[in-house]
Amino acid sequence: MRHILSRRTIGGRRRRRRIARLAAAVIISAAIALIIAIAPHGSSTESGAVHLGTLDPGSYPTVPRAVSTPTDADAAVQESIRLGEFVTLLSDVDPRLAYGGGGKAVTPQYPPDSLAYPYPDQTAARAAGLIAGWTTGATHRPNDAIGLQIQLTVLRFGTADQAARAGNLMADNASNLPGQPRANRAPLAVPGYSGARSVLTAFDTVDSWLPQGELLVGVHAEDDIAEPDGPAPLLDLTRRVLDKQLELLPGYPPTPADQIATAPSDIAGMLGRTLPNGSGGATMGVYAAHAALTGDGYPVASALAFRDAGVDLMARDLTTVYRTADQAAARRLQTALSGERAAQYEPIAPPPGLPVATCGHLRDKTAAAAQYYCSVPYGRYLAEVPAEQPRDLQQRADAQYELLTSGG
Amino acid sequence: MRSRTFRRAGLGLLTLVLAAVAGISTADATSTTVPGHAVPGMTPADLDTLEFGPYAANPADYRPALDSVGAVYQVEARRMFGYVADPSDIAPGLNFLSDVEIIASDAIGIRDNDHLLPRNFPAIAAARNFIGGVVVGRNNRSGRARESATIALLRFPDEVAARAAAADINGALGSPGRHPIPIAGPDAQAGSADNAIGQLVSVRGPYVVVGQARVSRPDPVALAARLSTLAQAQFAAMAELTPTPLDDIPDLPQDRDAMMRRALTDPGGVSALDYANTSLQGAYGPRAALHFEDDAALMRRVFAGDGVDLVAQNAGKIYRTRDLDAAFRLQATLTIVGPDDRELANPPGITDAHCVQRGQADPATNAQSVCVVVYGRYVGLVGAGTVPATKTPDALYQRAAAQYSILARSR
Repeated sequence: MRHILSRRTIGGRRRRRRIARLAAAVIISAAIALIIAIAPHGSSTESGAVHLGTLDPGSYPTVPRAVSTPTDADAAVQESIRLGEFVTLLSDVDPRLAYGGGGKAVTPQYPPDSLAYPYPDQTAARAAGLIAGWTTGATHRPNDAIGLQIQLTVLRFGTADQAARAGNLMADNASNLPGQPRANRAPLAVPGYSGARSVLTAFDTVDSWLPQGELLVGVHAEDDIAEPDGPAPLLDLTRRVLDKQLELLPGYPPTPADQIATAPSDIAGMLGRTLPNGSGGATMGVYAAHAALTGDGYPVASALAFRDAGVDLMARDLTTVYRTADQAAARRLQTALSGERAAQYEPIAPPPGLPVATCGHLRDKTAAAAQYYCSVPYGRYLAEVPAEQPRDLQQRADAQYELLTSGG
Repeated sequence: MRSRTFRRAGLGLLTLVLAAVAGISTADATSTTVPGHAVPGMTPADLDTLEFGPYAANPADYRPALDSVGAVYQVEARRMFGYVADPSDIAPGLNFLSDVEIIASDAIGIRDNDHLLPRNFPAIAAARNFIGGVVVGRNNRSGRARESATIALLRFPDEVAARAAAADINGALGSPGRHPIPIAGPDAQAGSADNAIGQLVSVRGPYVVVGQARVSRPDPVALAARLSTLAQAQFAAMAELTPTPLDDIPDLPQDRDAMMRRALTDPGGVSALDYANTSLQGAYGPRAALHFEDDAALMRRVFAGDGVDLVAQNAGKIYRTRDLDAAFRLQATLTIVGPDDRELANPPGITDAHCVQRGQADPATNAQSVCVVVYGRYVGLVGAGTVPATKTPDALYQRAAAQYSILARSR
């Protein structure tokens, strides 16, 4: 699904991405429609001007849900988020890659574009042995229709053989996109990585796959503006991405495959504090700070804000909840994140009963992001709430606030 | 023109004196206020009474959408206009515009009025990863002794690609009887089939220069000399040109000194001034801006004399001059009423405007009628089609009023 305030989900060709966005929007709408929740109102009031009695959460839940035994799909996503803590933040590789986002799990239930393309019936074969994976993207331009883009994916398989085989399959596939006149171009080489397979696709993008034991690192690089310069600059950037990524990989402590389903699924009760979308998804779970940044639209600014506010955990479902050091830190984070959103969102008045919230309305109505959002602080927590309609925004924001107040 | 300027100056002095007197006697008499920032010599219009039609009458930030590679490359191509020699510098008399255009990276939709580029240039462009370029051409507008010069400046990814493209172009220029023309200057190949029209192709780093000269009668010596001059002028003009790294092009400034903010914009679906090639919109320094003027000799003198240092083109065209006096002088120049032209009445409510119906369309803009307004040091030009003698040119007047209002409301 499209996670909240997502600026982009990079990877593959742009048209396909747009279709995926449309589909994601439809899925979200359907999911919202399906939500049936019991909504007992909180009775206490927090300090400040918020009076719970005046809030109108509609039919959204207002008490934290108990996250019970997760499905295999959700457990795989949580393990992927754990892996995401060791996936390179692309803005750390090249300062041009300042616009980030798209951090999400890659699992058998949520295969990446390049695994699913072009024949869905081959997905299972390509993904044979896939246990978990994390992908993150970054662009040079706020408008992701043009310019440099990188998508980094790390996949974990059951065996090294499976990892190597998947890498070969995807490289074969990328070099031989069916129906494309410029298929089967000469293979490329990533400087310093003789073990990597790298191909120049029919769309002049550079796709590289490097097996590392049971792990497989994939880098998709494209720059339509600089296409006439050829693939060399993209290969060099791929090399630098791999350099950073291989530094981080040894830090990942893989949860044994047979224990993933029973690993803790709601760390510190964070997921219970989010509003649920009801259908799981490739971003649903609890994140440490670095993994959270791999899904952040403005990772450079957010990294500073996270450090300043002492963000240690983030949970994401329909809404996103950050845990900071204390109440003052949560307010500072609210100011910082609202500042980041200002370029994309025009400030609007908060819901009537919730003056502590800061809210915005998408400036470019066609952009691939939520039409509205509010950030809602309570205690050491800060929630970000997306919505497509003002009425829904108000109800979600009110519900999110009540939910935080009852979270203990 | 001259008398008009002096009249303005006199009027300005009178206004100043009256204003001073008024200031002393009735300091609080502010019942009738006129918007704008009046300076001596201007006759500010009452903006509230002007008729703008569908046109935006307030300055607005210029944010062109760079949402395609083609749009990005055009930004770099526009910059290259500042590094093309003016053909009027190559030989006296080559003053009149025959072509000025951007060549898009796919080289589709080229007008090439002077038949400079080979017909298969789109194929060459595709094969050699052409990025973009510009063409500027002028002639002496003589029927009997036609002379002309045309220059294309074309950017390729690197020198290797540029050399390959140059070879392609040279090959495509080959025609029966075409023979080399020896020209002074390194690394340029020239040839002609008839010793009257000759072409040269040269490479400078990632750039290919294609030039064409026509002399009034077949004369290999004169043609060689003309092509040599063309090459030297062009190499001098591009001496400081360095290619913007492709990935950095979107960072190039799109507006200079808020000039584009001051230029009239098209409301959707309405073409206010048909530039024949909307990619020419942008803010230009005087050297580049001169390429868009029909009479290069006249306008070079005027640009220098009136201190024109920036020109912005959108649906309206804005010239920034030295001061108000210079602005009125430039207005007079831009609205000289020629033998085939007809003076039009001023747009309602605007004194500092002058409008003319042209006998011939402007070759750069296609405008058949123009209004030129003055506000402070800024001169605004808008155009439209032919104005029938029996009709009021509503569209032209609305554009003039909106352009005037934008200038008056700019700071």
